[in-house]
Amino acid sequence: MIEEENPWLAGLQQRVGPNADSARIADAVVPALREISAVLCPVIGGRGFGALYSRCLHLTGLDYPWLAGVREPVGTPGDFSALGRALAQQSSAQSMAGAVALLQKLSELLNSLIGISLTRQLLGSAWEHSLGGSRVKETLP
Amino acid sequence: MSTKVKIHRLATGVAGLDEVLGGGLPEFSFNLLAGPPGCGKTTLAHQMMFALASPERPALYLTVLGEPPLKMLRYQQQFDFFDAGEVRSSIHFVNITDSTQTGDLDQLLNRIVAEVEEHRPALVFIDSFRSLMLASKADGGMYNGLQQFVQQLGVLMTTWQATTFLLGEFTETDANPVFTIADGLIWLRQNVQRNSMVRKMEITKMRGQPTLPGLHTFRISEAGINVFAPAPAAVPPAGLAPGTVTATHPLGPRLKMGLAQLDEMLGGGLPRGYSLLVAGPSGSGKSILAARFLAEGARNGETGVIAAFEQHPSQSRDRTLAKLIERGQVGLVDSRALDLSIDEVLQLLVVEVRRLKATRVVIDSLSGFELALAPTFRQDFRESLARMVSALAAEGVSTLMTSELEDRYTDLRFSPYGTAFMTDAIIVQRYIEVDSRLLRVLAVVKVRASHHSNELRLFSIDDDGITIGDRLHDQEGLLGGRPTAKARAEGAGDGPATKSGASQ
Repeated sequence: MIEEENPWLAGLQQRVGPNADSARIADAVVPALREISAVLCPVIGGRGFGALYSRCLHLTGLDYPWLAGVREPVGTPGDFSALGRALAQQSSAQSMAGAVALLQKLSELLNSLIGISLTRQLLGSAWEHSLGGSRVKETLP
Repeated sequence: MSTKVKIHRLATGVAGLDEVLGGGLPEFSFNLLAGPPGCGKTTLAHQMMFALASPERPALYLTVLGEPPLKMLRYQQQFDFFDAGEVRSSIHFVNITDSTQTGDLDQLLNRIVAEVEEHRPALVFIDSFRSLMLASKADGGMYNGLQQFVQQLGVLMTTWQATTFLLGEFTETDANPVFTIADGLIWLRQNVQRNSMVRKMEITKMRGQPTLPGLHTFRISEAGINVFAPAPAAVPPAGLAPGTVTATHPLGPRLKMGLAQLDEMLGGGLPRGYSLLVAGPSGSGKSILAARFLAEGARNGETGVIAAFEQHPSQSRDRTLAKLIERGQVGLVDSRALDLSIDEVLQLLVVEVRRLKATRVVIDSLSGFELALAPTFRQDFRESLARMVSALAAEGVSTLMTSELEDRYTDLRFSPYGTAFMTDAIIVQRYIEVDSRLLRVLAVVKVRASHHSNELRLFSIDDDGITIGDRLHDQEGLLGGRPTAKARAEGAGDGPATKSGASQ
């Protein structure tokens, strides 16, 4: 699952602080995804981002089945309320692990589709801004 | 001082395109890049965009339906020109597909204006405009609505001082208002003949400047698009009839051929800037003579270029040439690409000539060259070759071309292409049978504006290369292939070889 040195874990932990509960984790992850979607939607379109996000949920759901059932409202890019609810309903450990896996999968998927340098160029500032500092950006990906 | 507005021309960053456009792309022009799927529209747009965009001159690339942006970005970054570092700083990709959902052109125009206001681009690309038009309600009879939309878009982009490109899978038979309103129409085509495909570009309209008319071949490689602009026609010196192909240099110090006897036969060597055709049957020694020509240049401190269309010089029997290439004294144009055009080969040659400051060029051979061309160019081979010879003369180089010539003993021919007239000098090699042996003879048939020998001289080829011998004094009828012993008049000698007058 998640290794301790995982930069996504470190970034999110830095963002939410120690001993954060799952609601706090959800409150950090949802704005981060909003920021990412705000960058990607204009470039690849709302539907393009929606497809990318659904694919990430599907892949991450293989390890975290509670993520596989998350369905956001159709046609409302930037709305991650269903994900926020799902994260908040888990234990803090599960919520953290699932959120980190989802963000990591999104990064991996983008890397495989448009390459590391373009992904970094598009999302570097969003990662940095929303996930607390340069550590994630430096290790991206 | 002129009060007329000066139109700045933008360097497109696409090799050869600025020449075809007539000096670059007019700033603030409203252009259409049109052609069938796969012809290179998106690649051309990206290449120009990455060349032109800067933080001070940002570009806005609007994607509409058509190719999904993720895929477009995935594929376009394979090209060398794609610099991810420019994205979001100089180049902004924006997908406006959602604004086409209703088919309302006013809403679409407002969206485009909003994006332009936000990003303040100096360059705007809409890909694909065809998809945008198909998605609009105006398609299918509402020509006027579409015309108004395009006209408003054109006016807006120009007043925003944006150079604009609409990409689309249009056909020339479309009755499309874009054609009327656009300042520039750039058509990309894929010409398929038999198993070959050749990409061609045509600028059918570019307001305010003289473009190069006609179809221009281009190739897409990892470096992007390379357009092979035609060579400018050489201007004949005063007093010569138009179309006369001639050397640019007056007869001065001549180039040595590497064979003293041959130099003597040519009247003292090959005049600089001349084109020389060496014609002969297979195996007669044309390539060896050509290699000797280049080696002699290198010996005198000159550089050369060879376009090899038959055996690769490294596999050649003549190791001297391979060494010259290794040492950089001879540049090799060894295009193994399929479906070549003469303009492409000429460009490769000229680039090498200029890089090496070469004075000698060899094309070995015209027969191999013709076979390497795409079928679509073969029918114009003679005309294109004449243009190439002329362009090389304009570069100031001396060109030796070899040509396979089937031995026909019933007629005297110098070239299978009718190329004899376009070269300044001709050497012909032939086989003859003497005493049950196949011997080689050569003759200088023509050296324009110069005296030259009229002798048929024996020559042989061995490990040391070519050795030119004497005339066959006691034989006659050599050109028939089977000479016979001359009936010798008692006391008569052979006498010295006579020199002919200058070739005309």
